[in-house]
Amino acid sequence: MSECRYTRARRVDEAVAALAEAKGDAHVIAGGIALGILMNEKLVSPTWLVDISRIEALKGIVRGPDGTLRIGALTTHREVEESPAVAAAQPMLPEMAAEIACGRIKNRGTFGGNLSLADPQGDPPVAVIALRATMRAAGPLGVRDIPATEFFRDLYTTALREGELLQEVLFPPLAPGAGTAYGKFAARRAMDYTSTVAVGVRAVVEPATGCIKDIGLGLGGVGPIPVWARATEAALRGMRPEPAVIDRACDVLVDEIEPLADHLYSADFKRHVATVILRRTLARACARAARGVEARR
Amino acid sequence: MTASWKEPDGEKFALGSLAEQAHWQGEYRRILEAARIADGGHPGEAAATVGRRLPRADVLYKVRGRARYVANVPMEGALHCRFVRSPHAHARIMAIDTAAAAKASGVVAVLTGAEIAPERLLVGTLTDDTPVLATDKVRYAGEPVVAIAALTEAEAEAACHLVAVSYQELPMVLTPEAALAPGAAEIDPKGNVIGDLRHEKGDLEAGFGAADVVIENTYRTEPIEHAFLEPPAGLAFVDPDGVLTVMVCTQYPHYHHRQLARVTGLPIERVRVVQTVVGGAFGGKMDNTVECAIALLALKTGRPVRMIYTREEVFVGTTKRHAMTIRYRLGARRDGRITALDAEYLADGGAYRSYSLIVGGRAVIHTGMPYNIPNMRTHYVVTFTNYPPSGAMRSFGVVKLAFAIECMMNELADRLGLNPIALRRINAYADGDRTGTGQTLLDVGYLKTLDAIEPIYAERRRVLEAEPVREGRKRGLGIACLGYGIGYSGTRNPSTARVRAAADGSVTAYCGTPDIGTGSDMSLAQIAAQSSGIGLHRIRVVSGDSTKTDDSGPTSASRTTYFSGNAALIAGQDFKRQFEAALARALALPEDQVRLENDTITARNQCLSFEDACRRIAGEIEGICGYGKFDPDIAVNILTFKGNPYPTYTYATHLVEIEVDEELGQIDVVRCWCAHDAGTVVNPIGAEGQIEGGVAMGMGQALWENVVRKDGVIVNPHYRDYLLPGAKDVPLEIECLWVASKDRTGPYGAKGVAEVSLIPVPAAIAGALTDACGVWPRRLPMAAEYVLRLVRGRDGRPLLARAGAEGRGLR
Repeated sequence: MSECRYTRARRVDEAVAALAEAKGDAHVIAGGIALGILMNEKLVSPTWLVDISRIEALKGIVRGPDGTLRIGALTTHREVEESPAVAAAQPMLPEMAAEIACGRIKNRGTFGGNLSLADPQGDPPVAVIALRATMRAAGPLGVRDIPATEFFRDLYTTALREGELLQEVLFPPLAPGAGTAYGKFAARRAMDYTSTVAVGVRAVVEPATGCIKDIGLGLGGVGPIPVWARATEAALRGMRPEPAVIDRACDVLVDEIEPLADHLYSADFKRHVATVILRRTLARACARAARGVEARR
Repeated sequence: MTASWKEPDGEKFALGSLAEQAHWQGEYRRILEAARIADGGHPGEAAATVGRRLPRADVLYKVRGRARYVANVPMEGALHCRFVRSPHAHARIMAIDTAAAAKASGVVAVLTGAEIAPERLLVGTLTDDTPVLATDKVRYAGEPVVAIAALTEAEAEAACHLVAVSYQELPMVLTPEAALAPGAAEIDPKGNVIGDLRHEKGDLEAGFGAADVVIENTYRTEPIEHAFLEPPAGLAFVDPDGVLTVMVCTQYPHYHHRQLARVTGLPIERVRVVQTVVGGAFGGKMDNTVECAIALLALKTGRPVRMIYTREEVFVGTTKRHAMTIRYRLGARRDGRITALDAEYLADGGAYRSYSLIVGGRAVIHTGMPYNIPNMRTHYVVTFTNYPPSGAMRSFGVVKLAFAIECMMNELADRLGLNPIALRRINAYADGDRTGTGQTLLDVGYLKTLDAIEPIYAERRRVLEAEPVREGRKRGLGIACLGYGIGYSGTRNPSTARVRAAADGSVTAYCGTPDIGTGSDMSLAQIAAQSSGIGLHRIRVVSGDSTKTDDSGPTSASRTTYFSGNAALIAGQDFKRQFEAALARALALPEDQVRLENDTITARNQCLSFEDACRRIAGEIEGICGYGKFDPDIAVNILTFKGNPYPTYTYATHLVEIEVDEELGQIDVVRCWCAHDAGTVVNPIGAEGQIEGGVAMGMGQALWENVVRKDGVIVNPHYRDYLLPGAKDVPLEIECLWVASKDRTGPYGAKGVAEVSLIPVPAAIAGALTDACGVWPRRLPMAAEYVLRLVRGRDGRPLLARAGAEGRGLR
């Protein structure tokens, strides 16, 4: 690596100003997990690092009076996994964070950093899509909100514009009757990056009819970007989660995703795995929805 | 030349200075004594140590991060070496232009193969066929072409990019089938066949004629990476006495010593190879990697030169386990007696010969093991391909034979309606049986390992049938067995040891085979202590220094406990005899009245401590050298494969219990029981460690490991994509069962463990998969997609079923 400029930002506006000045030539560093890997593999050699790890405003987990959960971009995966506030508001998030890599990475890697990377194998993108979170970005023109379903644009590319920084993620409160679950397939129990398939399900079930009133489905590892499975959602919305309905939804999912074959698995195998994980995760989410309804009675 | 070299007195440089060593040794002795007494030893019998659970001398500094690997041996002014490697799998080298690299920042020297005299250029194991640096053509992508020494690793790396090599690409030969095809491009001047080995026993056709059942299957395995944590690494320098010294993590210092003398042209006594602490080897540290290049660069520059492979270089630039196709045809009578086995092997030897012929010879000899099959024909062919050389790896290929034969045994049991253990009993080798090579077997503990497993198998079968299993999952039990020859195949491979004492009562045992992390130094010290009567705490083992020990072969082929253990035993006895005689002379007593036992000397009516006795003969003690050489008469005719290939064999039966997710094709290994006939177990802690490691390694090969190659390139040369089992994947319960057994030729009855712990594991998991799901795996690894395809094939369903097409849809 040759000479590299380094800016340690103390406030969000300092970071934004540095990014604006760099005109796209700077790399933001927070936990440094992905950046470290990319640098080791010589895929990236930064000439300017903007270190945001000391910006207090980007830290913290807050649950607002309206039930909205706000997770600062610098929150570590470990904090997401262990925070009682997160568990109470969005139980899918600790379940998701538990699946991330290993302890050392969870201690260092940040929620916002992972989302900004837009890695198709990443776990947080799957959850923010399923939970219909809002991504709040800070930029030269101020703050802008982007729905999670529109945030992931292309391989390692987000909707963030030049000079913008992901500031926090806002999760709307779960509707009554909602159940969530996160499921993941990996070749081993040891941490895996390659060939994983993840599914996040948020299902709102109408107690009287047992119908799925609303649903959010995010998938990881089944294409070049984290996937919002709109068509599969549509196949389930308003329906009772009966075998024939789920079979049909799985058929829709198989056509909706475009997983890449790799040295371990074929694309068809990953399609199959996605349907199995969807079935299992949907079943857990619906069971939780039913239990949640019972608990409220 | 920088001479910051401190004579480390034969230690493996693990501990730095002598002062530092003294601290660790003091601490270690306290732990050792406590462990010995905790395991039932008595303070008064300090030397009775064989069979005791004793902590190894190296654990203290290893767990505290103080072990000194090549990477952290301090050496002032050392240069860093990097290779320019071929991007092509098969190409003629037209020109090499190093001018720009030589002028680059920090570069001190550039070395090409052209600078090495042709008669010194080639190195190898059985055959010197591998250039230190390629000169006229490259035979695999990743082959070293130019070596650059620079002040920093980054500068050496940068300079590598400035070397311009022009290649003329040649047709790639990527499979053994392609290598044998008419008109195939020639990889080696002598043709594409590395070895074509044949062996026959009995009358094959008569054997099949007598069979009621004949089964024929083909099994395929993929190349495997050793996956040692420490990459190949070395540090070469000329010491103040003018001796070229190469410190390297290796299994065989003496091999490098001879090779370096030849490659550099230095007299043999001007070379020294010192083994550093080895961070894993498994057969992958027996070939030349960094050694010759850094030695030549050290001589060229007059400065120390260090080289450490990157992980990617480990994948592309070191040997692999052979990919192999095994076709077996097995005939048996209705009662289960096997009458015939026809075996054909086709192995991918890669770009150079390395240990391909050794792997082949072992395959021929072990075909059918541990079953007594009266009629056999074996044909083994290994060819060159344009991939990294295939070489030695734990079990020299027998793990693949076990997979094939044990799968066949399960299928045979199924066809005949026999219990798999009963079928194995019917065909088991027993004492007095003659093998395919005509060797009469003795001390065969195979049936004892089946005896140990059988009640556990029955009990687990009962439990599994009684306990419900989660929906979508299946459970199964699998057993697999082995017989494995100890030592080199069919050639003499003696080991020697020397035991010496100093006037202060400290004792050094010099052993020729180095400890590569297995704990062999500890086992050898235990044996020498037992046979000499000297307390274990006094004995320091020096191994792995080519100038301080005799060439006793490599630490490989499960041979150290048996061969070097016998040498240590004899050396200990010899020391004891000489020591007692010298002391008798000093005390003017008849020789038979002086006894060294349990670390104490009894001389007529008085007792002396060992230190006191050493002081009494201070003038003589340094002259006493107990010498032991163990050289069993091993010979096999390589054309007929008749003779005694190994002095003894070990046997084992493993039982594994798995759970299979039938919707995803995933296998969880839940429990594992490993019954071994290892003879006397010298140090159970060390042996258990070997078994646990072997189970983990076998799981990797069974379920995930695969060096994926495409168009001449390895596509997964890193641990992100080359999957090994992690701590969460290995079963918590791995039970070692040592059957009561003593080898009449082994040291205190020991045979050894090592490789055999790995061999049955993939086969046992395959058997358990059959038991669980009723499918018959024929390939390794049994990755999730492969297993799912087997399960889908069983049900006559496609991999990706659609509800529309199938009605009921996926379950």
